[in-house]
Amino acid sequence: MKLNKELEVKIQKFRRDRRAYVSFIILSMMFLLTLPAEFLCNVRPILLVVDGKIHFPILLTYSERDFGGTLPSEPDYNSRHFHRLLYGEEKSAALNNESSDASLSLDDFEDSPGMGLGLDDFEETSPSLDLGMADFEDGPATQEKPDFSLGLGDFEDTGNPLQSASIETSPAQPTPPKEVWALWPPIRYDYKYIPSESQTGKVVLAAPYETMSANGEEVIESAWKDGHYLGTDDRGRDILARLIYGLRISMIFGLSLAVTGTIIGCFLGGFQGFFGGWVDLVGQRLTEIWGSIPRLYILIILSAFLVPSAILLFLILNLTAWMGIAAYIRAEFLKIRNFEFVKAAKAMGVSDFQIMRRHILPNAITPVVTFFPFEVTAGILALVSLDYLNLGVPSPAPSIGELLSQGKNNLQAIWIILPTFAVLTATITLLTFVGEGIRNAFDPRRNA
Amino acid sequence: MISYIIRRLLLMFPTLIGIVTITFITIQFVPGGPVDQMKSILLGHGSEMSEAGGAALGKQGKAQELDPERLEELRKIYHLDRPLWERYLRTFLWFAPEDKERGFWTNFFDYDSWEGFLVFKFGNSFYRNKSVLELIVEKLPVSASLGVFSFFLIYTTCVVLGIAKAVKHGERFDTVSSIFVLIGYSIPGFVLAIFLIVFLGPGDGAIAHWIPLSGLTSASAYGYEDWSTWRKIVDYLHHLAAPLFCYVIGGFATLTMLTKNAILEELRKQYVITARAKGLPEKVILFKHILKNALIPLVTGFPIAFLGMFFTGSLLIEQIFTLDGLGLLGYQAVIQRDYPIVMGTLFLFSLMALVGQLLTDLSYVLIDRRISFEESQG
Amino acid sequence: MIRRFLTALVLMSFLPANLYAEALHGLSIYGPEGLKYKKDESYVYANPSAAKGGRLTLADFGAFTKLNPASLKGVPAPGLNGLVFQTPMDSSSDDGEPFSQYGNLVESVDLAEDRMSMVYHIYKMAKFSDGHPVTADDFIFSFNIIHHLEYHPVYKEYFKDIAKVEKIDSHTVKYTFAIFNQELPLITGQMLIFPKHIYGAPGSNFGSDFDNIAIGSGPYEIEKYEFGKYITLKRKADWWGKDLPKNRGRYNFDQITWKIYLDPVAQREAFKGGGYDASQINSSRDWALDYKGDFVKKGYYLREEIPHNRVAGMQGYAMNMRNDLFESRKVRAAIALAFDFEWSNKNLFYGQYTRNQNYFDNNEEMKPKGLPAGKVKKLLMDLQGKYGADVPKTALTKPVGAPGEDQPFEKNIQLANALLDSAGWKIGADGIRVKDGKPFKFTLILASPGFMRISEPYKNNLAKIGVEMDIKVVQVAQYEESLREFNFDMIVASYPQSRSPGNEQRYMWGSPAAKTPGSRNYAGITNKAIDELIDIIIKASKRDELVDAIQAMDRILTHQFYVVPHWYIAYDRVVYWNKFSRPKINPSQAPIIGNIIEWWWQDEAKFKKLEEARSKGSAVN
Repeated sequence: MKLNKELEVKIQKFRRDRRAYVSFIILSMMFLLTLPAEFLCNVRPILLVVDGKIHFPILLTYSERDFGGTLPSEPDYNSRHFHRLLYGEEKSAALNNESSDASLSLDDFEDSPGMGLGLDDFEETSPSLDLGMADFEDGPATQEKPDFSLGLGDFEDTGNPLQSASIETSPAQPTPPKEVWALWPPIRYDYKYIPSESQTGKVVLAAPYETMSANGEEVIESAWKDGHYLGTDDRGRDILARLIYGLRISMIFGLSLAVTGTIIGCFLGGFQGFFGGWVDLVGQRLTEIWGSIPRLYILIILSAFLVPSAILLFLILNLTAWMGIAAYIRAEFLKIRNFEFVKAAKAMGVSDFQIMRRHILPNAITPVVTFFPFEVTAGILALVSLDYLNLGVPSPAPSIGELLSQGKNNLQAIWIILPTFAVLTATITLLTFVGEGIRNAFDPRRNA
Repeated sequence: MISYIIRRLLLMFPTLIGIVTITFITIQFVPGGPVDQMKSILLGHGSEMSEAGGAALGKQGKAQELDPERLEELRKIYHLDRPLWERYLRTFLWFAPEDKERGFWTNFFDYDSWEGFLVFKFGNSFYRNKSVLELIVEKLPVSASLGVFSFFLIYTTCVVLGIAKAVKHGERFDTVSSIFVLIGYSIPGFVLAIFLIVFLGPGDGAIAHWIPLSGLTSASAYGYEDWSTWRKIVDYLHHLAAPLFCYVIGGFATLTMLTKNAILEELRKQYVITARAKGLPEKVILFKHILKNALIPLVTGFPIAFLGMFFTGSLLIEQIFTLDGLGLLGYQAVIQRDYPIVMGTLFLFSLMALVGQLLTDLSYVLIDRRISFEESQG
Repeated sequence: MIRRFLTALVLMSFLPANLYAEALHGLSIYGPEGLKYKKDESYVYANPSAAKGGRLTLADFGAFTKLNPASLKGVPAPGLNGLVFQTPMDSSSDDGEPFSQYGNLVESVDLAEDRMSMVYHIYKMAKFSDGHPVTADDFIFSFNIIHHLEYHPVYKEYFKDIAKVEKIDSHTVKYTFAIFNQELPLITGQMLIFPKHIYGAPGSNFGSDFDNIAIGSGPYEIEKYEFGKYITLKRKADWWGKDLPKNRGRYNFDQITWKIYLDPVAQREAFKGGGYDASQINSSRDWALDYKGDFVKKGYYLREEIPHNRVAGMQGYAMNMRNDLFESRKVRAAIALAFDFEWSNKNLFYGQYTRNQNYFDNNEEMKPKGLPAGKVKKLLMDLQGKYGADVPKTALTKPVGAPGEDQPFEKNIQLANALLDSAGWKIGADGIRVKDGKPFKFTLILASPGFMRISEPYKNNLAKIGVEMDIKVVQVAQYEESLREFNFDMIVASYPQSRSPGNEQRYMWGSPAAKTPGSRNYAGITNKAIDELIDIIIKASKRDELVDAIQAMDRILTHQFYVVPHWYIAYDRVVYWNKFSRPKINPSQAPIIGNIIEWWWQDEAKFKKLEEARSKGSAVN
């Protein structure tokens, strides 16, 4: 009860510190806003109703066939191709046309020296050269075609979509238009989507304002036209989406690293400090040795066996993230364990664990709380610098560090570096303000 | 006191041996070794890794090859053909007489026949004919430039600012300067560096061309030898300004706050109140009494800061401003698997850190006799 | 005359069995007929009246650490080869001769008819920069140090078939070869010659860095340097070789400086600020978007695309057939069809690149045109008769080209899907193809993060045909290790080629190399037809014989789809400050920066104009 009251006083004190409190609010809002990033920036509509059938592309994976297409893979909801499919202009008919085109080209035996490849180019059953000589005659080519496609035989049993589609609707016939209703997220891109087409004609490094083309002759419209509000990066991904996803992963990363670091640090530091003596002596040596393990090598070793990911980085950084906090906890415990009330409790036969939990930990909590925001900052920065050096989470994962490195490599593309710089420094500044506020509120010396 | 120092020194041995051992073990698991790296360097594979590698090559465009036999020779040069235990011992102490015919004892008493940390030989780089120490010395100009200047800048600024803030505690000056110092603390140095070269670098998009990106001096310029000393100094400072700025910007907050809080704490103490009651002028109280006590935490941090001053390295800032310093050395050693450098620098810097820690602890005792070291075990 | 006579006498007495052809002023891979230039002719790409003087400043990426160009450890300073140290012979960069050399240090050559030995007659006037004459002893010394443990292993490999070098008199040396190799006599001409009295002196160690003693016989000497920062070379005014015909109009700058940059961005920015004079650009993005500022508009520095006709070789995503995913030719073709070069070239490369159609692209002579005919066709048909499917049908019925290059991409994807279907890979529930319970997943490893932006769109396209590709960027050491052990699925492989293909083809496509760790046969090609063609290539003593075999091999390689062909650039992208003039012809076989160093000169008029314009801030007219 007493503790709670003290805590309340401290929180009151923190809230009175306007700079820290406002920072805290803004930071929390930034975090809460980026949490549902999938619903803010996504290449899939949240809701898609086709002919009364409800789809949730954002949650479920559909194949293009579900919408009447031919490809077995997930459709590109942003593409013109998919629009044709849904809204039924020339659309699937065009596709069928093309596919019959394709089967024509399978044995495109024209004497024009084009590199159009056909399926039959892979049949090694006829080693004789006569067939090759026949290729130069225009006439028999069309006759050969059905023979050849039959020869492949296994199309039917596999139910190959392409072939069956072309068999069903070989005459080009427009399918009836569908009734479509879609609910899109505000940004129609996610952190890894690379568009294949663009209305401005510029997919890669598109600026969010008007620019001149590479030859300096024509004006390229702002990337806003394509819905890239902060432009695109060096492979055409949306920067705003990457920033939002990147900020989210950075915050989660920093927070969880601080949490686990603090827990491990409290445990190890407390253990060392409470028992002191030999435990402390050996513990200190082990800590020193542990701290010098080349972390980069651990990273390189592990990512050779495992897929490098944020989780892996998190685990590796956890190897040493606890050290700062452990040193403080240890010092506090060393000090407190000699205080009268601890000695009294010991004399009364209270167990070690109980003493630590009841008497020492509450008193040592101050450094834990005051260090927390700075640990978060350290975690975020560790991720950012590793990503910047290309040692962190590999692309396409969203990452602030990767954006920074792109910004540096594309000095002319200030739409990359400016927002990234702003977001990163704002986040860390806010964290610092919060941390400073907490420190002021919790520092016992200031309480006096 | 002396026994305490001796005990601390003795405790360094297991730590250092542990550090080297654990690094040695780690290295064994790293994918890709120095021979692979050397192969890539020798065959110039790097140039093939550019966008249009194949066609960008000149007339000696033949694909070059290395026989497995040649790679075996490389392994020999790097002692990688030796058993693990031998390589491990080699890092500490190893007898490797250069001239076997000279007789055992002649060799035995020759310093050159020994290698290892125990005889203060820290190994030679795999890729250069230089030892770890020579390489460190080579990088010292950058590191010491950054280190010494930032040390003095930070210490002087922070003490002055800390005092001023303490005196004007709660006033507008205090709040505003806090915001600035904290923002500086928040901006990561390398991020600021990128930002600076975009807007103040020599490029087309820059607003002003203030920042040169050619190392620490313009020594490569024609006629540099004929420049006056004054011009050389200005040139040096000009080159140093931006990296130094990025390097120190984060360093003000902690020390300023430390100074300010220490002074505030002193201000509340009995002797200050007594002195004021006696009618001593504020300035006298501040400079004669308070400062002496308040600066203790600053002074105790001094030894480590001083040692570190010559060995500062910041990989990212060095990279951006093309400074060839210790940060880059360490990073490249890791990436290129230059194990002698990795082990040697780790050993030296760990040793320095341990000694620095000891000095810090000792300075506590020397300055503030109230602290007893019998409690703390180190 | 007397000397020649005496030499002949000496030769006869020592080696009665060897018949030497008449002394030549140069060597060509195809005998004396292959030499384009006469004894006293200078190269067509020289301007004999080029002005001497001026300065050239260049940039080099990455710190150099030594002045020894041939030792194992360290990075040699730029400009050492050729400018400071010389080789016996000078390789011609003329487009008219594929592999010819003329004397650098050597006045004439006697080549045995069986090409198993040769004699060099060294210029009597040749001197090192300390005034010491270049003699046979220096040649022998330079050969013997190859066996030094710390000699550059690549050179060791290169020179390994030279059995011995003997002194005949003070300025005559004889080379004897261990095996027959058409190229060997020319290879001897590429060995760096070091002064014996310096580097062979007692107490000196060849493996050292030459810190203060870089002494060579070349046109320049080192004026000043700082490791890792810069190096300046100074032209020797009284250089012994300055009046040789092949050196007319060559080596014009009084001083050449290289500044070292450790960061590509800093290097780029420094150029635009006038930090150095010329640079070759290797990134399409930089070329398209950068170097466009005020200074280029005012004409302070110039952008130029200089066409070249170097053999492009092949670059591409190589599929490792040791992984049975890629065993089938159909699968390989499908994987190749999924690469959308048109999109990449338009969006990522700003249209600067040309698709690699075959393995000896961008070379009029070697690139196969149209359908196989004549000898090439006969070769291919014979081989197909012998080895069947090793020579794919399309090698005879289709021209060379990148898979799907003439078709719209959507069609390629459909074809790729059909191909995978017919190869037995069925679409699984998660959209990934499966065969015998094994999903079609593989990993592309990259050593350069620069390829990420190129490979990610490809990854997305592969997903459209039900193939999952992971991309992993690893460090160079780890990458080399994977390559050495062939422990990868796909890499970006580069197969550079010269105008004179030879032995190296074995390492790239030969069956034995597929099993040799560390070879360049990344794809694991074991094709008997190719093996036979390689033998023909290596033994060829006539140019057309060689070209036929090359074309036949190229057609097979291309139609086996071992790699997903990338692209090459058919011109050099150069920026340089507007103060130089140059000869009319650019020998594009040599690197462009090398040509600037050797053949360009500082034009005083332009230089003055530029200085004036810069000080006023106005445009250069």
